[in-house]
Amino acid sequence: MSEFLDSGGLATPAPIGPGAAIVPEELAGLPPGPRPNDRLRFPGNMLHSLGNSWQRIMVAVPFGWMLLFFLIPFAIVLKIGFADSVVARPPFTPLLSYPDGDHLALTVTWDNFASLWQDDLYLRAYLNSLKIAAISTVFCLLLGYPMALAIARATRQTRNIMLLVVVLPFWTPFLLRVYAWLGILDTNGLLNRFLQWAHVTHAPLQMLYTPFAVYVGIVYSYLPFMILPLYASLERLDRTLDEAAADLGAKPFAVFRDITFPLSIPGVIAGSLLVFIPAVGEYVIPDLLGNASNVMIGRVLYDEFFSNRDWPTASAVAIALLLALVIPMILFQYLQAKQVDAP
Amino acid sequence: MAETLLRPDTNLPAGGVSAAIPDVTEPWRDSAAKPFIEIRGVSKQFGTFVALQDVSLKIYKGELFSLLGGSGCGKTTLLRMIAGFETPSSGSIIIDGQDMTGVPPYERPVNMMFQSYALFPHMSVFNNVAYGLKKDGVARAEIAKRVDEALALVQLRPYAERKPHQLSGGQRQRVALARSLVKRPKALLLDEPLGALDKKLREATQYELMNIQDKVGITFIVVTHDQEEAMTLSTRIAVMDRGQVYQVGRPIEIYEYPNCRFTAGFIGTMNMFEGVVLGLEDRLLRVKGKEGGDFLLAHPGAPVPDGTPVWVAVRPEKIRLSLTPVAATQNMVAGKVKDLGYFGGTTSYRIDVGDGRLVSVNVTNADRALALRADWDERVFLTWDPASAVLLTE
Amino acid sequence: MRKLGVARLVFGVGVAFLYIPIITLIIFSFNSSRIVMLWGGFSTKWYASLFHNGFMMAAARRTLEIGLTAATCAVVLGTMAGYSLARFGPFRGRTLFSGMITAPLVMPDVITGISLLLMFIAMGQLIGWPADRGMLTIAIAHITFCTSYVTVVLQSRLVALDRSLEEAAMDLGCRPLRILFDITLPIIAPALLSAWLLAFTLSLDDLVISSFVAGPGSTTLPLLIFSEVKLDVKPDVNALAAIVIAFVTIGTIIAGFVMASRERKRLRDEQLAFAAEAAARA
Repeated sequence: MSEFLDSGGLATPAPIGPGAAIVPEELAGLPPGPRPNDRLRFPGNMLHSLGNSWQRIMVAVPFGWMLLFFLIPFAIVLKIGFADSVVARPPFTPLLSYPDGDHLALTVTWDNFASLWQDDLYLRAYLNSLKIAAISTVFCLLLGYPMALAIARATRQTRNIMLLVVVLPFWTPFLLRVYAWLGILDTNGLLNRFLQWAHVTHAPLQMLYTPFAVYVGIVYSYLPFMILPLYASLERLDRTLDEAAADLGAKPFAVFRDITFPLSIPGVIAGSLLVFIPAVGEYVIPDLLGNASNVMIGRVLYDEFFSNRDWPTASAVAIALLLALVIPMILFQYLQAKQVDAP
Repeated sequence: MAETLLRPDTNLPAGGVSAAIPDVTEPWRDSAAKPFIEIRGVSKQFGTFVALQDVSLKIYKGELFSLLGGSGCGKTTLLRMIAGFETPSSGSIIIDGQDMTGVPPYERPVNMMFQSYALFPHMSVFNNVAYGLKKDGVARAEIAKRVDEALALVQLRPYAERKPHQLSGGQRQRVALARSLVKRPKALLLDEPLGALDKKLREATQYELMNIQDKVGITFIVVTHDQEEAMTLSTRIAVMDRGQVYQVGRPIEIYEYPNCRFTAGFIGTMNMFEGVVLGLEDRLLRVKGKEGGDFLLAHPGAPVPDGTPVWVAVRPEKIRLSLTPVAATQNMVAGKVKDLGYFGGTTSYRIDVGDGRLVSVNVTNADRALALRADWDERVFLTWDPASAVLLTE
Repeated sequence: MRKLGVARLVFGVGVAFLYIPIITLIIFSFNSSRIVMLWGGFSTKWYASLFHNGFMMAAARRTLEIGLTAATCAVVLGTMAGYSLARFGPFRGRTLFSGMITAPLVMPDVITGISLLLMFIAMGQLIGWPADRGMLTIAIAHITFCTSYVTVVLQSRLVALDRSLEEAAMDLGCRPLRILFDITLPIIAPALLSAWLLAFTLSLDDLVISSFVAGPGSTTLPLLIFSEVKLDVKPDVNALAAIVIAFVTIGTIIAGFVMASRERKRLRDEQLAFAAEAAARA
């Protein structure tokens, strides 16, 4: 009895969480509103005799973990990005210090960011990363959309097999899949030999260590990420919509243009973000398949950190990279939240 | 119980609270009887939405009580409140003399049968039924015995080792019933118990449910949106809409003596004529129709002052139809046949009584001449007895 | 439906694109020639050389150990987080919590890596732990990003789970924490398994984050392969790839087979139950 007295369930009627099953749908998204005793609440009033302790543990353990190993590290990057570079260990000046022994001084410098603007190595690397990611995303979409459509329109049994076929390479280690292209794109590689055998070319083409190889690598590695959300949104479509449009006189392409494609746009956006975001920060593929003159930002960051030991600049690059990705990331988070919350 | 349901009692005044002799089968007529479950002034808000508004109900031991209403009327919220899944914003719920405020679902002496049945997919039928007893720490031998009894009651003994997915819809429903009965709860709460069954199975199961309730003698509270189901099953029905209870009564009271326009319109079909009270004449009330014509009707309830705007309500089957004018000065309306549906034994008419106002009339085809002649656009005359109409004030 | 013909054609081309590199890896793992992609006859010598490569074997063991640890811990943490987000309704800090969970999904690996490394260094200076970087720091890094994936998988599974199952258990007298173990976790067991496999794969796959937080003597397989193949194609890496692919393929086929036969059995059971009832009613 005392347990639920503690939780305030008896004295004040517990406000209900919006998760309760019978809340009308239009109300489920209502803001919870101010509460006198804002504790964790189990949906409905299930909470009032839990004593809450196990629920606190359920939240606190993963919360603490992510705080310690995600948020705080990130704060440290921020801090170092605003610190001066020195030849020392660690190679940066402290942000907070006690210069005259008694009062705290905050030393912030924008120099690291200013140098990102001044040295066109960084800017070029940024623009290059964005360009490569964008072009790869377009190619993924061009290849992935018809594939997703073919899967979505297959019969139930074939559909599962087709999905499996598309997903299976994903379970093969990423590095090995990228590595496989080394042997194919090499000047003495399989593709060159095939082209010469087919008399398409007479001399071997330089394909490895070119932007072309990077595009191939990115499209190859991220294709499943494009296909799966596209398939999910196409599979959900009510086929009778197509039939209704056709019945009203639309030719197959018009049906696709007017009905299927517009309704699959959420899938297009989700898939494109899933390809674009990691592609911008990609490190392994350009490093293995690309060349030094076509550097991407991930590589710059890596080099600043490990080769130049310039931590503040590396941190500034990281912050700037993140800023470039903030809008697509927020968009992705929003889509994710919408997808998870809507059963 | 069936006796109670079928006993003709058409002289019952609306409300039915004034009976002098306490009836053991109708404890709600006895003001001294103690309700088994009492809902006292319960309200519930979700944000700004009012799900329940000051609902009070008294439910007696052994009743099969239905909460009837459309979707969003608050009936499910009320049921879940009795089970303990929702907390009232104000008011309280008393079960067998015990205030349930703050008592969590797992400590309440009631059990619920869920609309989806909520059978645990990873447990056999036996383990599903045994689950509640295990949680109560009942001895193993006792569990086996009681589960066996419960399965026998719902005729599922041979299926004890099956998993829920190996059962048909009707069998799942009976497992859910057995599971919620096996703990011998003080009341069984059923959320749309027949909703997931097909029409044919629903009828058979309806009677089975009544039989089982008769055997176990547990109070049943049923949430349903199906008025026919509520009419056949229940000892009493509470008609709900927008978080309020509009009328509580036996099925026959609800149908024959609706106390408001909502109940009248919700249960079956009702024709309503707007008018103003003229006065009492020879124990009959005279109402002046808004669209002309006088109505006379019996109104045994509380007196209504002259000049009150009212509605005279008549069921389609209580209206007589004739092709010739009737020598009557009241309860007579002329009109034209707008639509008719011929069902053989009966014909259902919709009569245009002017300005597009339609009156529904159901006629038993006892008179072949009438059935043959009352055709589209035919001019017809409608009459009814003063005792057949009901006066509604709101 | 000519449009679908085009889609099917592209599907075929796409599948060829996805599989040709993998198939060439396997074929050339049996190549006796050291020269890349030049067939010199059938041989299994690269498999032998792989198993005699102590570095490779040690790295593989480390990678598996980290993968098992990371996947298991991530499933525990992710279950707690997913359950909290799916079941506790609004609570203070929920937005921050779900933000911290989803952000690593979209964070570029280089940033995750650099921030964790800086964190470990700062901690080392402050409290002397971790004194050095190695398997532990890699495992911590992997647990962190795997937890995000596991949480998302389990949260969406829990949101889709019929809530009345848990309510029914509570109605029958079960306390909330007990319900988690009696009802919720057994029902979502398949999702737990696939979340674990996903986390395990992600951990085995990770190169960039590991390269930041690894220390001397904690080289994982991807790190080793990366440093080897940066210079040249290595036939024994082909052999390794072939082994991994064989494992994955066989595993997937078995899993698919088990699932398909279960599904068939379930369908048959259902049909039988309905047929029996129809017969009983007739």
